[in-house]
Amino acid sequence: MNKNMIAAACALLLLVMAGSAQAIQQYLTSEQFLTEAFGNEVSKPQALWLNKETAKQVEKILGHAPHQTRQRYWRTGNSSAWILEEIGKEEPITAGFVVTDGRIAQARILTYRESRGWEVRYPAFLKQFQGAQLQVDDHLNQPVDGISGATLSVNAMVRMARLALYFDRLSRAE
Amino acid sequence: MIRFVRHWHARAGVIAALFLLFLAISGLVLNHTDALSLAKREVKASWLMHWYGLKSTVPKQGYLFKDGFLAAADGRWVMDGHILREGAEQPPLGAMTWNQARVIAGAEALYLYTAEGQLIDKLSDAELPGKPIRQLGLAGDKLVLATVRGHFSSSDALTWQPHDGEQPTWSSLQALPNAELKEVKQAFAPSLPLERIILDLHSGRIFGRYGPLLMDLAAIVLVVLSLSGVWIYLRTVRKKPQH
Repeated sequence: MNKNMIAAACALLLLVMAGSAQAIQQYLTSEQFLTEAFGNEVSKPQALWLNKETAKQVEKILGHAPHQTRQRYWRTGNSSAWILEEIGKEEPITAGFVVTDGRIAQARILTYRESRGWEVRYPAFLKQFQGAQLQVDDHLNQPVDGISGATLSVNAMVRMARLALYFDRLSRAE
Repeated sequence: MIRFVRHWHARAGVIAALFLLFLAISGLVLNHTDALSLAKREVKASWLMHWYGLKSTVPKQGYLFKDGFLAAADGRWVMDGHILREGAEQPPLGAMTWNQARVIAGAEALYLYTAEGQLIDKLSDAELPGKPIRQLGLAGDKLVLATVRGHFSSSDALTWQPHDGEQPTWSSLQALPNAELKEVKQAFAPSLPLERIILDLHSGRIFGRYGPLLMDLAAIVLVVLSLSGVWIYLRTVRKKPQH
């Protein structure tokens, strides 16, 4: 009985340590993400500037005012790449999205800083964004299944996916 | 015996009720920290900061813009009297006006702000031509960064080229004008988040090293009161005449 209790305590301790070790994990650098998206021909970055009207729309999508008024992006042909940051619970998640012809072609987690919810980096979760488009109400046209224990990170990823699609639409209109 | 217990139960109850009310209210508030944004509300009351033993570090030097200033101390960056950043790990290395923007360089990132303090862009990691940044300068209308990898310049803060043109004017610390010192003093006044103060009140730590002991004593009194209350109840029920 005592041995079982000690083993359980050790397992719990390891779990807590594993949890804290998950904090601030860089899975991809921005160069790696861009090379993955465009091969070796990564274009020069371009800037998308927000005005009062577009900043208001971004606020609707994110639920808070945009952190910055200039967004950097990369475009090659019909594809654009966006590296965005959004807070899950307390720390920002850095994610990259490739949008082709108004649909998400690829979603990746670059850096994850939260202590819980890192399951959003798994391809099985990220695949759900592929092909997603923006509806008229600026929501995704396809559902994204949540992950128990990672709800806030999932929500942050959905907000960033919507934002990438909105930014892509803006950049194409410029 | 029961008269004695009742007598002390009532008196101790009144005193403990004050603690209980205090703990219940502060506990309720702490349970809704996020909804009440307690962590974001800064308290600056000078008597309270004095009680905590906090003193302000007021910088006498800063970086001057065309029509403003940036000063930093203890992780706080203040632009034109308004707090721009809190908890910054490193002080700014340079700040200057560039086109319509105000550019501030830290060792690991470059920040572009409007004169009103709105962040335009933050460049870090791969967005920088090299890290750590050592100096920030201007050469004509180009922004110049001195990094460990050499000097780089940019006309849009998006793409960088090795700089081999005119000698840059480097940003450097300057004495803040006397007219700004009052604003600086106010902006660097020590402050604490309301959450921390309520937590310290709840645990008793705000009353110093003996505060938690006082709260422990109140908790013990509450335990004794619960026991004495049950005891009084049981005695009263037993003594009731049965019909």
